[in-house]
Amino acid sequence: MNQGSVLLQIAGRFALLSLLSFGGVNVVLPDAHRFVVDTQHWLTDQQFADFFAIAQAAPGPNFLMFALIGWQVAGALGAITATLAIIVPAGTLAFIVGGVWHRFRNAPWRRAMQTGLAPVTIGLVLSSALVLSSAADHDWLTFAITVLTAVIALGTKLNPLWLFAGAGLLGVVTMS
Amino acid sequence: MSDAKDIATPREGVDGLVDLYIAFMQISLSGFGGAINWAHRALVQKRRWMNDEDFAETLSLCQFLPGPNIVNFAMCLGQRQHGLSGSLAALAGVFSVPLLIFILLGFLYSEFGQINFIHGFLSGISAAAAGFIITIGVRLAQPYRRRPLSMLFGLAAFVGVGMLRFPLLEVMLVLAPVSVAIAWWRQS
Repeated sequence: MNQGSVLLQIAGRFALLSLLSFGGVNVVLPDAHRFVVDTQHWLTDQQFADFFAIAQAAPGPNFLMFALIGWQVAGALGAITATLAIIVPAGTLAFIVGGVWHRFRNAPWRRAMQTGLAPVTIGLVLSSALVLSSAADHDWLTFAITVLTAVIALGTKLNPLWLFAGAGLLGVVTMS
Repeated sequence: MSDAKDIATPREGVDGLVDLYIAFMQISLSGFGGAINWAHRALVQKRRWMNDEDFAETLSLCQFLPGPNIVNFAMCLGQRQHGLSGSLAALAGVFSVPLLIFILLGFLYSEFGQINFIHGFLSGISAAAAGFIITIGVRLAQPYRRRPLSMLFGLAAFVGVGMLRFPLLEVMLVLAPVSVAIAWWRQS
């Protein structure tokens, strides 16, 4: 496949995900995984999980995980294409709606949409957790790290960066 | 609480665009685990471009619309201050510098990602990151514990997309209209 058609595929798919990402990019990770790992074989499971981890830990918004995917597939041009594809459609919508928002901020259909979409969003975030966990957890140790992180993060107010640092060190000690 | 009369007037012309660019670049670079706290600090407390009420209302719009919250926020506030060029300046602030950092990280990853200790480090972090998303999902689900119908739609989305790996578009097209229609019917 030539690079132009790869860039078009990235742009088309991520632009669709942009418009479906009610609740942020965490809800579209399963579909992104499905596309770039299962269908296109552009990334391995571990690469997908690594990119998610980098995006969580690095300075900058999480949606830049898509820049890493784009980079892996088509270099710097791929990173830029993927980033624009994930932000421009949703951003355009925000620009349009933001200008007329005061007219229907109390409209009943808006409340119904918000109430109706919220539980679906939760199911999708948990789907992301499942997809990421099956991509990242390849033995009992990584599985234990996932469970422990969830338990500690739910039970304490510890800054997640400490959990990531601890998990990373554990990984260095045991896996290398 | 900041008062409405405390609101600072944004600067005119190019100066105003530069201000927007810098404000959103700072928010974007400092935001770990949701840039929203940083957005409040930068936009309400420090620059006084919005008051608390304004901030909360804009945020609820940005969370309601699809897309990253910080992107939506940049579009809305940029537009309010300087129209389309304001939106574009704020949006550029959100992604330009972080994107350069991420391209560098992507480069480092493809050069050194397979070195043993880096591979081990990333394996540990990615396992932890998966756990962290479980936490986010569980936290979001808390308010719905006693609402079986809502839980049912959450569960359906989880089974469809998470377990059966159905495409997101199809699942949304089936679940979202039904869930919204029921919410509509119950509130009227």
